[in-house]
Amino acid sequence: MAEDQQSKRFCSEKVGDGLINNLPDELICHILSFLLTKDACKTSVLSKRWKSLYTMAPNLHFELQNKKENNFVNAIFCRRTQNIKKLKIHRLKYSQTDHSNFDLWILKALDLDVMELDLKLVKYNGNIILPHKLFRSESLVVLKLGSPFKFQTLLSSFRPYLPSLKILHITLCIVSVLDIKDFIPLYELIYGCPHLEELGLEQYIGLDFLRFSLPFLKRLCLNYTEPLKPSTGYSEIIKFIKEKENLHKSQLLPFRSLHYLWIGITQYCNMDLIIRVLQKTPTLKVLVVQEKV
Amino acid sequence: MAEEKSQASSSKMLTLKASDGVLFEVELNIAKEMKTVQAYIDDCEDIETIPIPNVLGKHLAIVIEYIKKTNEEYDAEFEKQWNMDDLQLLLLAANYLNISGLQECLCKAIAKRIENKSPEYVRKVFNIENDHSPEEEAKLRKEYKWAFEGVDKD
Repeated sequence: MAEDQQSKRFCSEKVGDGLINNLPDELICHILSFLLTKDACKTSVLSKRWKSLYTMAPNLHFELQNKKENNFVNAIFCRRTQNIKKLKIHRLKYSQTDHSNFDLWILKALDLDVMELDLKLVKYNGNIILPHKLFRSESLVVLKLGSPFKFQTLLSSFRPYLPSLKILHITLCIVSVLDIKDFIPLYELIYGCPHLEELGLEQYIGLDFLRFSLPFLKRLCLNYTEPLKPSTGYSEIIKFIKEKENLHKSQLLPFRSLHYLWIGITQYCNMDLIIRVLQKTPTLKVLVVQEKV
Repeated sequence: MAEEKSQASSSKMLTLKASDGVLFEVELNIAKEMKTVQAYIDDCEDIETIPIPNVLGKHLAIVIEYIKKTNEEYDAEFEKQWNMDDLQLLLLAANYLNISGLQECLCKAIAKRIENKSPEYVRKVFNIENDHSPEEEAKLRKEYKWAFEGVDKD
């Protein structure tokens, strides 16, 4: 304890005399953790002291634009021995051939006890398969899947279990009646997060999750901004959901700790849904309803 | 939260003495946000004037004002006022005084200012002496060739 204080008591008498070099490694790494990994690794060139500082920055953040950058990300992960606190990968476009790398990156992060995972692949047109190991992580506290991931690969015999997970944000992709199969593994997933405090669902059109008691859930965000395309299968989807809900009506449990509810609506969304959510949130303190035109 | 701090029941005042002798009278609950000062108070309860040997009066004033006013809006505007040297000195002060909120704000601000800049620029603003051999530097630059593309002009 005394030693800690000692290392903090340095004298910065001369202004502009390499001030940043007076900072302990931890603090420099904290600064680097706010940068994209691309910028952070450039600091290795600054001086001998900085050569490996960036490898100890707790967060990795990649904004990827094309396949060429794969090698760069591979190199970063190969070198990484320090545990990762937060991994954020946002990608403009994802194609099938990129898949093998993506899997490996996530697996490596899981090996390094990653606590926060933020994945977003924009303009996506296929099937992203997430490693099963992800859904059994004991270290994960925050999971944000910002693009539509299909959950069909979560086998019925495989039980997701994320004991440390407090925040979960998922985007679904419902374009056809076949996609309803995704709901089942989704329930399994939510059921496997017993300590969940915040849940965000994008493009979710059913209420089945209400039958799970999420005793610690404090914040709920439901976003219906993308209208369900009134095409073939639309009415089947609605019918399927209504049937499921009638089946489980008696099992709908209220959220006992929920104090914050955010709902994004459009002209297409089903107001019944919203009313039923409100009926199940007796402890609500803050309600935000946002309309997207 | 900022309003609560100034209205707190504790009316006890404490004097903080900066490295250049400037004195600041602050309420106890404000001073307690500086964990280093808190530790000092815990050690010797009767103390009235606490020396802060590593921080200039100019920066201590800024730090105290931050503690009083901090909220999302204030933080967003806060970092824009200071030049790089001041930011670094404030970070050293926040680190010494052990104020995690201010530390976070300043780390973010410094990171923002070196985003996508060349190593030459970063060396200049941080006053870092390049002790790499030319071969070593060339090797590192080659390794991270992709990262150096599209860097802002100095």
